[in-house]
Amino acid sequence: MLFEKSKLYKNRFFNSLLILTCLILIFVGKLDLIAFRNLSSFLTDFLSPISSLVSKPALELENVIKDVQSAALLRKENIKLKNENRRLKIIETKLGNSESEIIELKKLLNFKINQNEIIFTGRVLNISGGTFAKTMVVNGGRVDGIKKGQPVISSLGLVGSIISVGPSSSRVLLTIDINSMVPSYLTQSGWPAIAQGENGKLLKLRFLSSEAKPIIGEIIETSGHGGVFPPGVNVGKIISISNGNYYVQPLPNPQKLRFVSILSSVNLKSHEKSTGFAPLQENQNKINLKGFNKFNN
Amino acid sequence: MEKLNSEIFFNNLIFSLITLIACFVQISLNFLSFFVISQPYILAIVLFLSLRRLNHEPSGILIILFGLLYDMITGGLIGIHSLFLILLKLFTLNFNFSLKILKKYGEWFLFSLSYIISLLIVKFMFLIINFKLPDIYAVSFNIGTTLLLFPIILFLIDLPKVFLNVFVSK
Repeated sequence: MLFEKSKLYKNRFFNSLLILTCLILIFVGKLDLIAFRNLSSFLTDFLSPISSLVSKPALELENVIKDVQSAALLRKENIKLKNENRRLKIIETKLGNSESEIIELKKLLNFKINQNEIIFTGRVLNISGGTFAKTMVVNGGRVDGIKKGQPVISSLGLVGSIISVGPSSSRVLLTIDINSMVPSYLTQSGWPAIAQGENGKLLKLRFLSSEAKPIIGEIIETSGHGGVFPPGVNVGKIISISNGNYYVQPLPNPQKLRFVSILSSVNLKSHEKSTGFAPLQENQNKINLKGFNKFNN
Repeated sequence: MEKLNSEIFFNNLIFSLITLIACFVQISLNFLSFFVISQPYILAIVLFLSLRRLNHEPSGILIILFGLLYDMITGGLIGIHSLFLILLKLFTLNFNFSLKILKKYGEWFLFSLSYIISLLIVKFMFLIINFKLPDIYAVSFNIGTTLLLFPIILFLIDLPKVFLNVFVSK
């Protein structure tokens, strides 16, 4: 009896010790020590071929599902595409004219264009989409010139930024991760906001002015503030409004991504970083007294 | 004593291998569009079944190490999965002793209870650390898919036994 009681206490002590160890680990992990970062990079690098191999059946299954779905919707899709093609041709002609005008005007204004160079285009090895972190591993690393903090894009828009680099693989923090914040602006009204991930599938617009009235379907682009992301990259489009919060659907779906490009951040030097932002205001026929007008209303 | 030690070692080895495979399978599931919001916790199911089916429970230190490995592979917050798996183990073992539940749905009920409680505790910890509220829909989707997947895995494990029973009885 006494032996059983002492064993029970011993077990309790051991279990408490294990929980304490976990809590210490979380604390140490939050400190973001270089040793942990290096170990994580090494493990990602070492295990990425296995992970890629294990992911193959899931990828194949997904392709089969996609094929079956597209076969079933072939006729409907064809009609839709024909209509879309017709519409796009009209837009293309209009855009061609506008583009040449913009180029001409930019030349006249001596406008400096920030062109971020694509330094690497690689294959997505795996995506970890748990409820705690949303990251992906790309098959390019230090050897390919990838550095921490570089923006990652796909053909549809912004994917995220590099958070850790190993010798031959890198980890990308997706925009939907809870720790991701992208300085953006509304393309139609020009109001700035921060698109923050929620570890779900949508982004939430934060720090948006109360005067801004975003509409469903409005496209969000990166503003380039802070110098991490280049300006003018598609982030997503507003798809829902609830309780005064605006939710953005990221344009590139991380699960459908097979290839991504990593941009250099050479052109975003510290002295070029913007510090302010002037959104495109509606032309009001009154004197702008920088904030005082609001009190008068 | 020596036999017991080798048995414990063998059990832990089996657990390690299965957990390692489960880690990668769980990550690979994210490529399926069905799990667009979040993937189910196969790791939790494997741990629960190892605790229930193996003769000797997997070592706590080993569980912490696997949690740590998973966090490092997925790039998540270090230690959060270790805490989650340890809590799951403790709840599974403790509820097991205190609850006298139906045998047929007992395992599912026990898993659901331990899984939800440990996940909620860890999510609360995550909330304190990050000062941000995670997407509730993603968490509930994760809980739902895991709880739905549990009986399917259980059925798949028991399938060979059912087949053998049929053949032996014939």
